[in-house]
Amino acid sequence: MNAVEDEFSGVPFNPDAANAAPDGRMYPPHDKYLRASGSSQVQLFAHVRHRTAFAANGAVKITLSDGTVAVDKPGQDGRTVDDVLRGG
Amino acid sequence: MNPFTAIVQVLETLFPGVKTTNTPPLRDGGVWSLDIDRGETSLALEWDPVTGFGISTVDPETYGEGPDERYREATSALARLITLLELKQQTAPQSPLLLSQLRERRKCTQVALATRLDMRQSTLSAIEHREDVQLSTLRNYVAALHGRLELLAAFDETCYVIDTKAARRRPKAMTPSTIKRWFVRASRGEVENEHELAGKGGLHYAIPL
Repeated sequence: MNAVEDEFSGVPFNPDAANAAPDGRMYPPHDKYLRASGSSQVQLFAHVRHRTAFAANGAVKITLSDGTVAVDKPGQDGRTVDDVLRGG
Repeated sequence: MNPFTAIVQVLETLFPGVKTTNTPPLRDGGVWSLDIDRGETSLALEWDPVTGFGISTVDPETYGEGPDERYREATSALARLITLLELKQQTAPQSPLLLSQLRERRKCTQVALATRLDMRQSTLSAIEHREDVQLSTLRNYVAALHGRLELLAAFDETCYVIDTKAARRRPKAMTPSTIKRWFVRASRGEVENEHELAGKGGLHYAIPL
């Protein structure tokens, strides 16, 4: 992801981005935003206006603060984040 | 009790019926987050022990950015939250929008907005690229997008909304030479619209021919 951002964003990588003002570059979620997800197979990050969940199978789900699901991409095995949370 | 839970208690005391959802971090030193819902106003508060408090109006149109406003002290953050909830105001994003970005967010094309403002598209484009835009022009621009212009004076500890209408209600007198200059400009097509002239106080005078 950093290589892609280096090439296309034109914004230099800031190692302290989690504590700095937005600089226009995309960064992966920082550990300090981790929340309890209810499953050891899912990492849940709470950010302003949205929550992002990553499952161990590669599934990704982004939910906006009003409950709208913006992204719900299944993992390699076809299971979504909700499937993993349900243990399915 | 940490400063975050203290803020929650004060808000719930001051605004009975307000809905709050407090989400603690998974690890020590992480960021706390709070969703605040009071009828028409929905706010998001986060507390980072390193950087302080962040406040944002909940807007499903935008996400993926940090909080709109940051406050170092809990008292400053609380004061701002109370103001936002009482006056039903919006937070001011940290990353300012260009006029063209604002228009795009409101899903309006240059042609459509130029038509609403009764000006040429090239004039609208010039306004969007101008570095120093008149308040009256900005006010008309935002009004044509069905919004209202609010000016915010931001200080470290708090923010104030500036009332620009008072100046509009009391236009300064124009001298005959100023009126003549404006009419020369108007005849050359250099005056963008009547609002620009009104902003100078021109429409408040009977102009001797």
